[in-house]
Amino acid sequence: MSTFTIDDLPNEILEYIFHLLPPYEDIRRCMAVNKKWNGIAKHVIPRVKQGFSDAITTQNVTWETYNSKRINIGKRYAHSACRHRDSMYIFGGFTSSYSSFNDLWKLNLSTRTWSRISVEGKCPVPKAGATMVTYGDKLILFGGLLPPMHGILHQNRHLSNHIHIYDIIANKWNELTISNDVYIPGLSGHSSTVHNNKMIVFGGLEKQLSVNDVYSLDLSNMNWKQEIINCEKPSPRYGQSQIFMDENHLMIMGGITNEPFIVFDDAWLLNMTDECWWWRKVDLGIHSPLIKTVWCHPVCKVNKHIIIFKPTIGNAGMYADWFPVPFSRCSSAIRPIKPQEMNLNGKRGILNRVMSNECESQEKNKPKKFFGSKGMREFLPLNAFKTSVIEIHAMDTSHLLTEARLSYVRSKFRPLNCPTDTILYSIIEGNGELIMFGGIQRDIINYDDGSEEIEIHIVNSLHIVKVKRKII
Amino acid sequence: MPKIRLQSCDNDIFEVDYDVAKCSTTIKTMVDDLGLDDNDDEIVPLPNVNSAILRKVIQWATQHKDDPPPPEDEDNREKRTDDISSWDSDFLKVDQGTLFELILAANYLDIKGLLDVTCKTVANMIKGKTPEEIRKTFNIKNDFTTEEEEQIRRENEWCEDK
Repeated sequence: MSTFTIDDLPNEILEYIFHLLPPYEDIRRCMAVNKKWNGIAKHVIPRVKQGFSDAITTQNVTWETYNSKRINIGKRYAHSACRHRDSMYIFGGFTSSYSSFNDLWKLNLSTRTWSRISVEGKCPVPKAGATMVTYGDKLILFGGLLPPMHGILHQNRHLSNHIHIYDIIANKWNELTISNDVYIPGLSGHSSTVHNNKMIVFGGLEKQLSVNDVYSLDLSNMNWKQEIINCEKPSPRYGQSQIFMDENHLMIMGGITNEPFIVFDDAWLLNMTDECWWWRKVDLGIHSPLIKTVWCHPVCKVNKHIIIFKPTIGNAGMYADWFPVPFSRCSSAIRPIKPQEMNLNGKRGILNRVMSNECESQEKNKPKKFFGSKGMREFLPLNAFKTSVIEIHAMDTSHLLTEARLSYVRSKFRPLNCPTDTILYSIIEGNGELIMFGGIQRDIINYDDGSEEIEIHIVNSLHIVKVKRKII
Repeated sequence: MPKIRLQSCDNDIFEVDYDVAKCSTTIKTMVDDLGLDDNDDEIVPLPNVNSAILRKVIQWATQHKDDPPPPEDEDNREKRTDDISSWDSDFLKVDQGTLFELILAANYLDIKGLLDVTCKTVANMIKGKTPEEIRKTFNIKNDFTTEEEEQIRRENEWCEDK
């Protein structure tokens, strides 16, 4: 019997072993073992985060997909997500049968296991397009689009102006009664972040129109306020991403609006330092077209960089109809009343304006059975398929607060295992990884004859962006 | 097939195929530099490895001699700890001391695959355990003062909740 112990291992090897553990509670527990372990383990999470930040800006990352077989959470899109400690929380969203959820799920980031939370208290109604932010040990859910009333589809949907607060420790939902006289409209597709104990809400759809108002909810006393901003503002919009820069600054990027239909390619910085708040347009150089994908590809911030996701194929306005809006943009004939989990090949052709009726009639002849298996695609003629996958782009915010400028970071590597393009997903930052969940997966298939087909699946996949790690 | 003779620190001689021995980058470099061939009587001394461990290492290398070489750093994928093969997992059903000696030998002999799988095994022994359970598992002494422990507990308090 050997007398060697773990103490005989060189520190470098112990550190390597720690790097094999998920960078969450296991590492913090190692820190509590003894002084030697503490000295080594305390560097692991900061190093993992820094390493990821360096890797993603140069695209030296790999995607890892956890498919639906291992997940029992319902397939959904336009849901709400936020991180609290070692968990990602998911609320609501649209289902694949065009109704919505009001369930609350928790993904343990360390073990990658889902659990549905059975919550006490007054639950929110099912809705999509709401925002959920973390404040201390509470999750704040605001707004969103309610399902149709009386079971009638196509009637105008209702927008929520409710605030629900989920107390994580007490495991309880509470509905907030608005405590002052400020009129808060029902909103969907708005954006929210927390600064100085206030939840700042921008834009969204109010009734059938996009707005560009800024509201603040003081989370210490639950008072709403509409912030009056008397300078040049971003155009009214919904679907934009809102990014926390610091306690006094937020940035909004992209978004869309209807009537006229515009896909925005701009970004704006809101300065909340003084009594008087003001917007400043951000200089994106020649890279503003990249922002056109943001309305359906939410961005996130990693360290000093904004990470933008873009499909390799397809223009930004495609599928705008999928956004949860309280009206039909197109006729009910092509409205996706019951998107099914099976293929919808060709059926949504009018939206794309590229697909022809001919495609639809040929649908039975297409090799549909191949679509589900990426492996089999490789046996088909090379130009038969062009699957649109997700590209990663990074923009540096180092000069954002001083000069209102974002600079594009040129990539050095190619990400591995990029997933098929997905829209209206949720994205959060974990420790040294990004976690993308759900959404609508879009396959664009180009045939030799120039025709196109589009496959749409509502998914419950987890796509995780991680660093390609080196061996010692 | 060329053979190589390896000498453990306790002076046992092991004759192994070159194909097996070259799993160790350390041995491969030595042999290549010295230009040994099967006619040589030279022995490669391994002063850091005893015969019990060297026997295990040779057993592992024999099993894995036909594995594809580990990929270059650039293409390395994220490490996982749940992808240990059943052969390796049976092979590593050893007492802790032997496991740590195998790690040290894999490190010294520069056998990436063996180092990887032994470190993963240790990581799996740590995963999901509380600090006290980790100390018990590895017989580690808690050298924190009560105050230090209280401070660490406070900093990490929330990680203990469910």
